[in-house]
Amino acid sequence: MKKKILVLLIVFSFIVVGSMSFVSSSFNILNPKTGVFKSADGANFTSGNFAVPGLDHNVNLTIDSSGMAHITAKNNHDLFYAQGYYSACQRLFQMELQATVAAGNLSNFVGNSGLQSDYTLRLVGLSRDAYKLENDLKFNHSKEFQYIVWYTKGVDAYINNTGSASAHFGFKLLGVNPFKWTVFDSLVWQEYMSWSLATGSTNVLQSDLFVNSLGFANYSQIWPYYPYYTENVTMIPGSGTVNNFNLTDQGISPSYLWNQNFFQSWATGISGKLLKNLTSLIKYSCNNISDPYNLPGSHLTGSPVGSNSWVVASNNSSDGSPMMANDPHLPLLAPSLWIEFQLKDPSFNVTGWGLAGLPGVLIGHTRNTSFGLTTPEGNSANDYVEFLHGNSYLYNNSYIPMQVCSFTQAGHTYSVYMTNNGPLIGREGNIGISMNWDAQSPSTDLIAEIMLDQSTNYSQMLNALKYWGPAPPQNFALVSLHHAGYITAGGYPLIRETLPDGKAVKVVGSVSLLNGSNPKYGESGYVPFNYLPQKVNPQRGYMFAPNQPTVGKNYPYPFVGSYWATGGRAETIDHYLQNHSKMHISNMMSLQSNVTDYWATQFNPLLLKALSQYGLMNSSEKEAYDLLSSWNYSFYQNMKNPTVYQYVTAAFYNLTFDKVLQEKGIYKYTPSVYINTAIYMARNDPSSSWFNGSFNKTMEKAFKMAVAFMDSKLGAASNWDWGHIHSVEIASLTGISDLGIGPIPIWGGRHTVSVGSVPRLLEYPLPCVSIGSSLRTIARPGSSSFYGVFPGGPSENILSYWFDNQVPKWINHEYYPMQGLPVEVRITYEP
Amino acid sequence: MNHKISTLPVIISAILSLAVAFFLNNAYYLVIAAIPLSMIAKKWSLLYGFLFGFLSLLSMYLLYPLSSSLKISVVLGSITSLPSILVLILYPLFGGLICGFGGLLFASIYELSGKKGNKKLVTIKNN
Repeated sequence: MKKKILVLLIVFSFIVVGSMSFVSSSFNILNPKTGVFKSADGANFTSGNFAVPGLDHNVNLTIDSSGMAHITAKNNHDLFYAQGYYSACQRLFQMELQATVAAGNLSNFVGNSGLQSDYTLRLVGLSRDAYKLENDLKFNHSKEFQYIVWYTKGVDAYINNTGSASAHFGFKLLGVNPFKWTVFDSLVWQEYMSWSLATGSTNVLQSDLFVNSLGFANYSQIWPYYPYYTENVTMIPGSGTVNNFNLTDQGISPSYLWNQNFFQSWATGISGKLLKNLTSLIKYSCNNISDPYNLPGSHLTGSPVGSNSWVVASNNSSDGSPMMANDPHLPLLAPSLWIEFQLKDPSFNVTGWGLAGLPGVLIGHTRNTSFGLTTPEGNSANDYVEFLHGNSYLYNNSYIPMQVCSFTQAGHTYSVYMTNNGPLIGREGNIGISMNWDAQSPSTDLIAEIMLDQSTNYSQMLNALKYWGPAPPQNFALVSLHHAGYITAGGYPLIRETLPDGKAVKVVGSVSLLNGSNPKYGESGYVPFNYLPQKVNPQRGYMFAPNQPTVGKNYPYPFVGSYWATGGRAETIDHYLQNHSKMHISNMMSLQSNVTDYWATQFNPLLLKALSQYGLMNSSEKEAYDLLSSWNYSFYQNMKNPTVYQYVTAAFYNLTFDKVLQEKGIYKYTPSVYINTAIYMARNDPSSSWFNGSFNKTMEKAFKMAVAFMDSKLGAASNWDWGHIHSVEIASLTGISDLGIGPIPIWGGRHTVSVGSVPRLLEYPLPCVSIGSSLRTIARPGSSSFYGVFPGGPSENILSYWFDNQVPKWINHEYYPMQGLPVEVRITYEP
Repeated sequence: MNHKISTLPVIISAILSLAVAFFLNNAYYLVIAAIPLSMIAKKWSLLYGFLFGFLSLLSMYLLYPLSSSLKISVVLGSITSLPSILVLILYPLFGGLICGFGGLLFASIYELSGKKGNKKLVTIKNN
């Protein structure tokens, strides 16, 4: 009997030990010694000497109290090698995840849930373009290519030093090991960043959907070529003349050109009837090129990226030295897209922010120069209708076989078909849509960046920017000891148009799909460098480029395909700079932290006027009305006025623009109608059908609706603080909210310079602000004054002090001086 | 009560369990630490095995700052919808069960082999 019990005990114990062993293997991530908890080991920096095989000489690295790494090397090789090593040390998981996403390999990390993202990015072709770029750099720019190779080797040296024992939290969490880093991985991430800034590809489809649903008359009223009230706030002051060349010089009247319907067949080669039949294909194509991973810009599902920058010339600066300010509005991610460096060797001394995974500094300063960038919005991609027969496409009256690129991912095989224009992003029967994005040509942005990093004067910076692009075109704010200016660098593809009056003109992009079979509508080169929008030392003493129209209507290469921002931030910046004749650094900081909404100053009076005719208000409505009446148009966390404004405008949109777009089934596919359009129409066409026949009555209804909503969701007016409904979330790259930062109540609104954009939704709580100032910098090389801050820190380790050390200052609109801070850590990398 | 204790297998098992937790990557290696426990009574082998497996893995958290381990457990707990304390003790619990039932397994085999007979090698001396 006892023997039987013993046997039973043995069997039972064996089963328990076996099953627990099996189960515990699946939970190895929780192993206190080797699992995710290992990332607690060495979360913070340690001073000391570390062996880094592959260096020629010792490299000194100090970390200052802001977390910036100052790398000092004896030669270029060691400088970029050490930058790669340090970047990997701080951000390896981020870099590898980003490169994996960009290359269309996310499913390798996360399984089938990454397949749609992989398909989208393979379709767009980031990896194809990155390979092309790598070859171009290798054979045509071998010196600069070496910098990238050295950086890559530095990253790999770190991986080899730590191997699979890498303590990075993300690798542990996903249960994967780091892969070997290559030049391709850096370049494919560059392509992704370019893609996130590309305009045209989705916008063209959105425009066509709008016109198909509502006609050109409505389109031109809602989406005029230049947004209402923005003609006098262009980046380049004046009518659009650049280097003494303009549209009038070509015998073309700007007013004639800008009154044309560029959706018509003379401009596109496509009949209205055909375009009308393409609605479902256009929607399908739109979805196909929208990355569901949404990092950092999905082109459809995500909020649009933007940026602020302005320069102050000598004649408007308090000490006669030009200044610049820049804050790119990109997805706020943890860790940040940016990592901060000073890179110093005998031929470099540059300080600023580089993109994690890429060598050099993209936004920063040298001793004598400073450079920053914003996105200019003109088309860098155009979409074409392709006439197909089997696997061939029609071009110039002949059918040509499409190139086919196949790939297998997670057991599924996909094929991407290419015409002469680019990948086919959608197909229904014998009609397809292809995308011609200018990154299909190798974009030598890294060469421009490295030349900027070595620049000592303005002309060297201009020269560097000849290498920028073609993708993505960017507004570069440039400041040297004595000069301040702008240039929109990069490749703007030109389309040769013959206007209805028979005159020919080359325009930048198209608002509509073009006929891919007709060579006439093909892209014919780029805007020549000398005629790119540019200006140095403006007489009025300043210029600014927060995504508003770049140039006036007389520009020689009209930006027909352009999707400018509303210009609200441009108006605020313009007014501020007009009113401050001798700018100090403190003025630059003050303007960068401005949370006044210019459009609210215009719309709120119209709103109040409409409500003034509405006599019977309950107590909440009275309170809301008083808050709107007494508002100074600022968006601070402790103010109640912006909350009322937000919900009233949301309700108004709900009853007007959004309702129409939803009825037409295109709400998801079009950007929110600009508030300046609403202002223009309220002033000039208050009985528009968009307003249900009466602006005043609809506004009254919206007001009641908004106040009832606030009453029910927020309760008494004491709970209406802006910070109560408006928060920022610095999201984790992994999408896991607990690995991010926030939500934190935050200032700002859609159109404030210090931006805190949220959609106009009658919802509580509002979606968190997810795109904002990804860094802020102010530079005055003439007096060696450089300041900066960004919402993060150097480390990707959530346990590290350096993960989010700069966030409090960022939230409070404070800055770190970018030189002279106390050294916290001293490290020597030894060969 | 006058129980006699054989401490040597217990000490060896404790040292082995710590070494396994520190040097080897998987909890199932803790069965190694259970082998010496075959020399003691079944119920004690189960109890000591569980304690050694559990505590040796739990002690690995001492390698890091406690606040860091707690922060990670909170994050993981939130991701997995588990209480953070369970996240912390789950893996050590596996180790405890493996080592405990490993001890029971070996002790039973030893007893079945007849070497132990009815004699209880492990008793607790309690004066």
